[in-house]
Amino acid sequence: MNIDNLVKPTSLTEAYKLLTADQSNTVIAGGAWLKMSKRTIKNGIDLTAINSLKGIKEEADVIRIGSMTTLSEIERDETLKQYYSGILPQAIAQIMGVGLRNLVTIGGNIMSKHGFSDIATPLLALPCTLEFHHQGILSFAEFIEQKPLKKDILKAIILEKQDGRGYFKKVKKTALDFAILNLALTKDENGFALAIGSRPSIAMNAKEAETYLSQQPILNDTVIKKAATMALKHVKLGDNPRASKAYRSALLETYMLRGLHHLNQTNPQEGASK
Amino acid sequence: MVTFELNGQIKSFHIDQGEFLIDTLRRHHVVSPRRGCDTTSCGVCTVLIDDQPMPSCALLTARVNDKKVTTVEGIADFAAELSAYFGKEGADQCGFCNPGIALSVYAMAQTEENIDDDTIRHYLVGHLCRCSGYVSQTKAIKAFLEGRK
Repeated sequence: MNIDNLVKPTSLTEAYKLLTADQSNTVIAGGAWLKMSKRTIKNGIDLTAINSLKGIKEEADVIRIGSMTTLSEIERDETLKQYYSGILPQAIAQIMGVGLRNLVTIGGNIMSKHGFSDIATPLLALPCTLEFHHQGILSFAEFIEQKPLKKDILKAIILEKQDGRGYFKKVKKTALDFAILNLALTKDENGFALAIGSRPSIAMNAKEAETYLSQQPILNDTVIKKAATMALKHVKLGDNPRASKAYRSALLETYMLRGLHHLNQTNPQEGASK
Repeated sequence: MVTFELNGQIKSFHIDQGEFLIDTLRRHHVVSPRRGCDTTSCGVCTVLIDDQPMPSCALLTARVNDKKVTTVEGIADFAAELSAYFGKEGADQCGFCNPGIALSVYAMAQTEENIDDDTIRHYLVGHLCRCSGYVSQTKAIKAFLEGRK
């Protein structure tokens, strides 16, 4: 990416005005993958001077993660390590190396909507909304479905405080590689949530399986197998150079079974999988 | 113009707005941050920004204004001591990845308590080494940290 001018606004209003002033103007979050783009932008909007976008705050009913919070800060946060068995920090800890996680922000990762994102998957399985400067509050699923992506500034990721358990699995070939498939499962008083990512497209919920699981009085082998079959039927998997659709299907079934058994058997602090 | 502390000295550089730190440093003959993948995957361009490791190939130089930038020259004694342990364990062949690894080990030693093999591996993940296979490096780092207690 070629940047003609790097601007550092000090308020969200100023940043949004700049963003919408020219079609090529673009927000620079962590900036880790600027080199991957061949675009030329008139104004790169550096959000690092807007302090309200940084940090993790625990409030009465929610946990707010500022969009410019780095992945390392989330990985180390003690509150998030306890939230739904810590699936968000555990998913983040498996992304590349420490150096990159010190640079990358959660907002930049979300707004990029990468198919291989290890963050979109757990967020889809958690009670999560996104707060934008212009659009206000969107559910994470609404954001994923928004095409084309509206020019806006993500302010915060808002996690509703609830008691729940979680399980996350990332399947990859090497420590530094992207996921072949990732899967997040959660269970709370509202029922089950199941999200599958790196399909290789962006993560999606397996809604039919979620509804079915949430209606069952007990979670036995028959129920778990039926839920896995429903997920395989409704979640669209595909081929890419990392893996075939058939391999992804086998992984989805395997880790969904393991995840559901895991949620059925463990206490809330032992949920996530490395 | 950008001004930052480089290995203990305040330096100012004229830069392009979209310039990356590795380009600024290497243009001014600070060449220990190596150019490897140039896409954040290999770790050979690692520098410390306010004592935290980051890939200089992906960091806009304009963003380090008023910050503290450390390359391996800024931790010379620490790196020399570590390299002796790398030699003893046979963890050093071509040496291309060593400056980046030394900086990450330095940051780990500053940040982490109770460092075990898993902690060392956690910090080594971001560093590609095509010679050693990481086992000898893990042993060397562990012995080095034991020796410093």
